[in-house]
Amino acid sequence: MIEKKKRNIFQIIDDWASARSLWLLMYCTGCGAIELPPTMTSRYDMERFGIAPAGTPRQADILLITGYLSIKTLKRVIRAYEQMQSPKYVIGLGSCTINGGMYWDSYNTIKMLDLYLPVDIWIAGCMPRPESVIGGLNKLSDIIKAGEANGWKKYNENLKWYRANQKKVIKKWDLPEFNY
Amino acid sequence: MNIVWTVLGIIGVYIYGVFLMGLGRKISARVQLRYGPPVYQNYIDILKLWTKKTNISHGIMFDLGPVFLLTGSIGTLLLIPIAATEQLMYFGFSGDIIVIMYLMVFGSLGFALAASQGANPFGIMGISRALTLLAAYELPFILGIVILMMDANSASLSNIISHQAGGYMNWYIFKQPLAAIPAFIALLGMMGKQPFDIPIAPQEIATGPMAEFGGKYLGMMMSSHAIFMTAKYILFVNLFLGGAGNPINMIFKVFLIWLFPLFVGLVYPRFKTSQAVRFFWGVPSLIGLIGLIIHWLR
Amino acid sequence: MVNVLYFYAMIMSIVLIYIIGDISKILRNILAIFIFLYSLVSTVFVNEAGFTINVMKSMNLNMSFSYSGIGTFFVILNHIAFGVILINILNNINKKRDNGFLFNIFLIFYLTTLLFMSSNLFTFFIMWEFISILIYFNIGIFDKKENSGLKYILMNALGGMSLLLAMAMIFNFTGTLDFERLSSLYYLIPRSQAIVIILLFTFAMLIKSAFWGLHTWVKDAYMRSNTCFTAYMSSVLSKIGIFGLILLFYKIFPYDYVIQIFTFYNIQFFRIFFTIGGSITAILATIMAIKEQNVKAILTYSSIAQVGYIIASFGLGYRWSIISIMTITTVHLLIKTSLFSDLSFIEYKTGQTDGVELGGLIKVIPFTFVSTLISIIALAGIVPLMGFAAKWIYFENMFISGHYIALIISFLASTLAFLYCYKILSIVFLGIINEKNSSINYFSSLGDSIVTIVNMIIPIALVIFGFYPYPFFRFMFEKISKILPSANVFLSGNFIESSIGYWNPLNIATIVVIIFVSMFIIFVLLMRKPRKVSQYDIAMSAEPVRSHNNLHYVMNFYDGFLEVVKPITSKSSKRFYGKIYGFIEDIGDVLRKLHLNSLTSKNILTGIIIIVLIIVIWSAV
Repeated sequence: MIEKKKRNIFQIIDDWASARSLWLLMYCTGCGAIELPPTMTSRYDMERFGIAPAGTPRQADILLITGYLSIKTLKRVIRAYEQMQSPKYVIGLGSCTINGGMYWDSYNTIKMLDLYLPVDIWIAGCMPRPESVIGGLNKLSDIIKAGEANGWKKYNENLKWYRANQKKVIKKWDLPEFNY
Repeated sequence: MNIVWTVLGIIGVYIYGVFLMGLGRKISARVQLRYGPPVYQNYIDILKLWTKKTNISHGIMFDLGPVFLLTGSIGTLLLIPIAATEQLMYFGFSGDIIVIMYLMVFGSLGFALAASQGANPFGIMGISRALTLLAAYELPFILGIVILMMDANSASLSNIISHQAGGYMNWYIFKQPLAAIPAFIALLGMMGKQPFDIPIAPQEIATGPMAEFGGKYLGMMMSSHAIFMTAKYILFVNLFLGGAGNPINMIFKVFLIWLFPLFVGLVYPRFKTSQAVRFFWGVPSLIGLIGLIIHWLR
Repeated sequence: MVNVLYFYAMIMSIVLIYIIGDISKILRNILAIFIFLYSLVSTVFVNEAGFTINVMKSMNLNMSFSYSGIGTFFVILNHIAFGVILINILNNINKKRDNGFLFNIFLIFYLTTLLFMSSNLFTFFIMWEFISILIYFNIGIFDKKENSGLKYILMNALGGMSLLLAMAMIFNFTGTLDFERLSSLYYLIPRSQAIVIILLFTFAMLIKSAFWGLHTWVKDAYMRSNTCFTAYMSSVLSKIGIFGLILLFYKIFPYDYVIQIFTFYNIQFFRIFFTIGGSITAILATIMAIKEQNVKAILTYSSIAQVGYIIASFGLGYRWSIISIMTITTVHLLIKTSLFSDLSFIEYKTGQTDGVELGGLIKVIPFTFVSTLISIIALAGIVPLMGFAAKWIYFENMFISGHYIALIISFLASTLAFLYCYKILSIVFLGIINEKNSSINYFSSLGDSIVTIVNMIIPIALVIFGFYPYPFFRFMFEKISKILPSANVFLSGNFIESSIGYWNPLNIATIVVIIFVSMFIIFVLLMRKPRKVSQYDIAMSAEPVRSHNNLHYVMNFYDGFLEVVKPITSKSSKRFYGKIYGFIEDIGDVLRKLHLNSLTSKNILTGIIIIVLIIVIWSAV
């Protein structure tokens, strides 16, 4: 695991900027998608914390996975994650990403997202309400500000382990190796 | 000393442009009954993009894209007099309007090559839309410009400014309304704000030309956009609002014009590409043509 | 003496390329470069009185040639263009070398030089007809369809006929065809006949330079011929019409007389005809260029559009017309030579000019990309390069002379030109590379390196003259000083000025270069280095893509725009011209029947031809 290092002033500024400006790439599967529009629009307005939706993975900071991932969609998520630019963070939204949730005995969904991608923060619930989504995002912001959200470093360092896990579930592995 | 003033002017315009972008987000949030981000949010965004740890590149033209953009923006800015003070005129004294109009596309076309090398079909699609839009709004814009050139009998920007001296009723926006209307409608297209955000269109083509850019590339593009946007507003102030005697005056006038595309953008949804072309080549151009003929006969 | 040597060089070159061509490729290149330089030196840098060939003593018709101002300028341009194109011809043709083609293009080159040197109308006409016929052979060699050659020869025969008629009328009234004497004898022609002469002459020239409506032969002729030859047609041969119009406006008649003769009710109709007609040519050709997806077709229409600007320049007024014409002509000639040469190199390497099969070539032929990029920037008229100077002179003087509508049309046309300029770069050099082309070897032979170096000459010249255009303008003023005695009319110091504005090319170029370099240092060198990714690693979808076809974006490139201009682009003159072809074929059919059906008719025809020949020979002796 990565130990907490002492940061210099530039790194502190970096982290502060990253924490105050979070661009979301929303990977919406199933029921999770419906909670995000109210989060973005007038009622809850996540933009007041500097959180905005991003157009493509290249521009995004956060990969927000809202619910169960089937084996087929996992492939896309991995590719989207690897196209994002560091520092990048993953949020698991809803119980399905934590332990399978109501799909705990499904034959074609993955149960623990943590095995395949480095999740920085979980937001539990089925489904979590916009309040808790924003709460989770703010929590992530605090972690980043403290310089402790190092999921992307973990992924780079333990790429072999993650790849092995990913290849274990995705039988027909045809992802190009050029991603990383 | 001149160089110091030049650099200071560029930095000032940059800071003001980014501020306006943030303020725009705040205002549109308030219109939509939201709280909105802080006005300094865009500074943080740019800082964050610059400090991203990794970037990707598709090749040499891809790398040069933001450089082209910034060159075009700053070059345009330097040819436009910011204020009538000696230090802020730069090279604006030789600012021939046709030179400015051709320098304005320098950056965009250079960036278009970068987006092309990104090989993302959305990027090329966005560029093709952007160029179509450019051709569309250029017609009403040149009509307005030609009327002003006829009135001032000069293509020099400083002459056009000096023709508006002496009270606000001498401003071309009041003196030549038939030139101002098409030009200001063309301004909507130039700004790429809501009814004409065809090239960007995040919901259709995933931010179009920017689809493949992230990190420092996107940061530079946002910076360039801030400078270029402000330079265009300054050009419009010089053309229609009689220029400005000092920077404070210019800041105020730019703010006034800036509100116009912002509020129009908040009300109207996006056009299709062909609709935008038909719109620009329709009513605004007709108004400009009528203005041209009236001025010709006079 | 030099002139004789020049013609020796002409004959020697043809013979040598015939013989040595088969022996060694390097020797052929060296020879070609030598011939090019020699003929350039002998025509340009040696000022000498011309020479005369007596053709018909009895009618006092001479073929006389002389070096005179504008003609010399065109001759120089011709040599520059041909020198570049010759190197491309010698190296870029894939199949077995075609000596007939080489011989043909050499002949066309020398005849064009003689045409620009001609000092009377008779010589001009003879050269014009020779060139027309030789071009027809050339299109014929590479043509698969019969129609393109027919279209071409039909239109040009029409032009030739009206030129002949105009010439006969001039001779009838003045008794001479010599330009020097005509300029003082033009008043002998009655006004109504002068109108007819000018109209006939203009018609002939507008056909040659592809005015809109008379341009129908251009696309097929350009598309069907070898790309190297298209380069020559687009850059030099389209300027023959322009040269003829300059003769009409500045040598046969004075400019003001031509304008005044067509002035009714105080409206100068001829100027309006030229400015509006030229601008409409420019905009319609530009729109057609946007529609095409074959690079050769795009450049073809672009060529028509650029010639449209030149035609429109004839309405600017006595002084500014000639300056604008010469500037745009020079710029366009250089740009089109460069672009078509690059295209022929691309065609040689990939076997394609169609955008669908190309793409991503920047990775395999980067120097060709640089050369094309610079030429395209100059073509679009973006500021720091030479193309802008031509555009600026054109627009400012369009405004000063009061042609506001034409100004707006041509401004829109030049804005629309960005669309196809970008399209060329995007579909050929950027985007995704075709798997077929990814194994191209850039420098597979010595010829490739020579072609690459030679093709860089013109772009470099465009950059240098864009930053510092004064030597070019001074040289041009010197050459046109016979027409325009007061030289340096708009240069003051480093400024280029008109009566309504001025700008400083050196100043602006310096600003742009300084900002570009400093931004390059900050952005590319100082900030964090990016990681190179492969071309298929794009953030379009999470599904990996592995094929050129799936990502290369060429079809429906400007969909939204083309939807708007559909009423213009869908109109075709094919049916109209088809009817004319049908009619002419019918006539030919009747003649053939006449000819074949009876022995007597055959004998009569042969007899007529022999009698004509006897008359010609008798009068010549």
